[in-house]
Amino acid sequence: METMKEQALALQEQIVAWRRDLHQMPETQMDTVQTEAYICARLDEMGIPYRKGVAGHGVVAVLEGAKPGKVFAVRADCDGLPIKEETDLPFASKNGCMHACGHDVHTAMALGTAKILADNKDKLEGTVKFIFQPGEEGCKEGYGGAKRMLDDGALDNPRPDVIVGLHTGAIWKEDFKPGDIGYHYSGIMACMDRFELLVKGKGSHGAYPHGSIDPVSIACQIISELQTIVSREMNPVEPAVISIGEIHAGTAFNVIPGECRISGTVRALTNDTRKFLATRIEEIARTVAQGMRGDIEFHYGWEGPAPVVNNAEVTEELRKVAVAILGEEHVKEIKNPSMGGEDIAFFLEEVPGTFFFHPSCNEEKGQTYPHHNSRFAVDEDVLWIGSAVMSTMAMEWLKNHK
Amino acid sequence: MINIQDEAKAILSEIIEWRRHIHANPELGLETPETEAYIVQALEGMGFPSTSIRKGIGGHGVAALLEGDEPGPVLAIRADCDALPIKEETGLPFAATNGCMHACAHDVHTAMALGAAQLLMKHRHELKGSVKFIFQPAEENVVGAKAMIDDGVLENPKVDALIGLHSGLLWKGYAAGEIGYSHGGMMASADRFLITLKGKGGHGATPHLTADPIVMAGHLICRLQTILSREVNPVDPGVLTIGRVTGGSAYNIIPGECVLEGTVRVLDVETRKMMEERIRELAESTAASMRGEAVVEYIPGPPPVINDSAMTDKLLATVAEVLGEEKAKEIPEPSMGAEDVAYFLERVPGTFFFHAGSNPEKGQTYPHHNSKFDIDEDTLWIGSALFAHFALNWQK
Repeated sequence: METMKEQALALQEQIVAWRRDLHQMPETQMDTVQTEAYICARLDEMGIPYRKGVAGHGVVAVLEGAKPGKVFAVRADCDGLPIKEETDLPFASKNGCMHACGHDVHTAMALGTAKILADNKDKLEGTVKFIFQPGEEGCKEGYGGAKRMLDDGALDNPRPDVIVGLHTGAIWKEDFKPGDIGYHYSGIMACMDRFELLVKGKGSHGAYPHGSIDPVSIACQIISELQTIVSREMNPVEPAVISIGEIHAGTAFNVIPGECRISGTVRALTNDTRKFLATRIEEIARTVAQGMRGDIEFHYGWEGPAPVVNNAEVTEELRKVAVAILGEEHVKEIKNPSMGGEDIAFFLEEVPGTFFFHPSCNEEKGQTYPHHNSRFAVDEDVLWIGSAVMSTMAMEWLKNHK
Repeated sequence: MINIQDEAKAILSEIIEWRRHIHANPELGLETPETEAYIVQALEGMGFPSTSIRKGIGGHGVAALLEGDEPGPVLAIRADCDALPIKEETGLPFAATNGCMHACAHDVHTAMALGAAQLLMKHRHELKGSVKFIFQPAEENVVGAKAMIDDGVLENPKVDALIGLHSGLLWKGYAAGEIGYSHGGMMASADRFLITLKGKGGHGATPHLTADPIVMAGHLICRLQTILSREVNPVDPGVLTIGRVTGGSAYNIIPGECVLEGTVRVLDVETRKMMEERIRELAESTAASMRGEAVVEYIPGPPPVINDSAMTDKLLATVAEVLGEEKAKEIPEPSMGAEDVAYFLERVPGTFFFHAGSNPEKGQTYPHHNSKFDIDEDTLWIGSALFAHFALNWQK
């Protein structure tokens, strides 16, 4: 009998073909019409039933095994980016958008997983749910794709007991090579919240500061004081970032404006830290502004997403599966979490699971460009690995958890 | 087949006796002559020839060499042995009465190392290579390790690897007798810096004729915050604390100088260099921008305690065999405190581990350096057994 690893290796060319098709039809945000149709066509070929149009163009497929059991979910994101591709690949996209973050690879590997599991349906002891999610890169306004699919019932009927997902590419490239798998037992990626501060003072002529309450000076003091949240109030071993990305005030060099707008991002690896940072930003901004006779309006965007927090037990099971497929030396712990974000966090808040790393940028093949770069490229030779790990994990997990 | 657990348990009363004697006779810093004499006497008592013992290293440090029958590498077992200037209030029958106290478990570390020496003396024929026992004073003021290294404790024979432990309750979430380990950065460096901001003094009513060093200090303290909040990788722990600011002598005089003093704690040697550099640059440029000048003195303390991953794996194998795998738990987070075992680990691969010696169920809940700090003596055999088992097996 062929092992699932062998089946994944045998499927390698097919996974690459799917990936190239998807790569040539990048669609952005929630508008993944063709991608949705493509995924549905492949699921039809495999005979896996699905619900399409979830939160717009998301797809949720449900593969029931021959034997009853729990529900295992696989999540893949499928949206591209508004970047003009410059890779010179024969299958480069020509529509002005680009899969520059590996979501084409995620979707292809999830399709590979679905194919392998469908072929082994008779041995599957439970149900596997596949979530193909648009809008991971975010939407113009409000929540991204994961939360929208969640709100549209992606995790209902049946509700998964566990969920896994992965990210391919170069995120932790320092410690990994293509052909490896990276895992992490706890907070692996940060929340990526946006906050806005409107500093309100009183405008005046630049020559008469005593008649004003200068919101520019107040904003500068606030920015300086915000530094102490990380440098003095946080536990030094707990990562936290507050970055002010925008500051805007005024219309003329010689007028003290009435308002100053600041916006920034908060990155934290736990929800407790996230709440703490949000509270302290507001407290510091308000007291500094009031101390200088001004005031603030504060808005914190909890639509984030939240931090990506892995479940240690599920991660350990995934690690063992990956070791069995790739060998001990190719399966390594991710030392440092990334302060980047991923909206799989919303699913992981609902269901225990693990998000892992599938390194695929091969420097020896010139794949040295970072994510979101117009020349981002991956080594297709390792695509079978994602499908092998996820399909074996689903099979084993369902067998071991009755 | 050697059963080191049972053998260590069998000598528990001796380990406790050593511990109590050292506990009752605490000495401070580098001045540990009586502790030194007691350690030498105990080693001789278990059969160490006086030629194998070198005393007076870096002051009152002791090193004893146990050579196995077969040649091989040299493992050092390091124990610190100095106490603290704290008046003991434990009410124990063997409490110190000289105004000093072993309130950080160094008495326990020394007794455990002596226990290991006794166990290994018995098994020296099974030993490949040698074991060097290092008894180090002045850990509390972090000068003892350096003093012993400068006096050659790692040479003749050259030490190839090192282990050591800290007992007590440094990390929470451990039951008494359990072991905490780390594969990398475990405790922080502890450097001191002194910044003298020089301006130009004057009357408080005529600021325009001065260069005000107090305002420079205010700005500098704010700017120093950005090293951690903006310049250091957020996943790399670091602390910069200004502990002292002093300037001026009267409320209405702008002084000529203001002095800041602080500490830097990090877990990474590159970050440590970067922190020093950036403190200098920020101090000098802030002062310059306000028409003053800064003199920065950066005084390095112990480096970070960084464990060798392979040595830690060997320790885990030892714990699994001696206590059971479940007794070893990874430390939940590194401590930003310091330990001068770091000077040894900077030169020799090794691992420093935590022995949960305080037993909350026995009311031992007082923190280190508290006048009521105490240890569960029933757990002392564990340190001796782990050291001895490690020495017999680490080359496998």
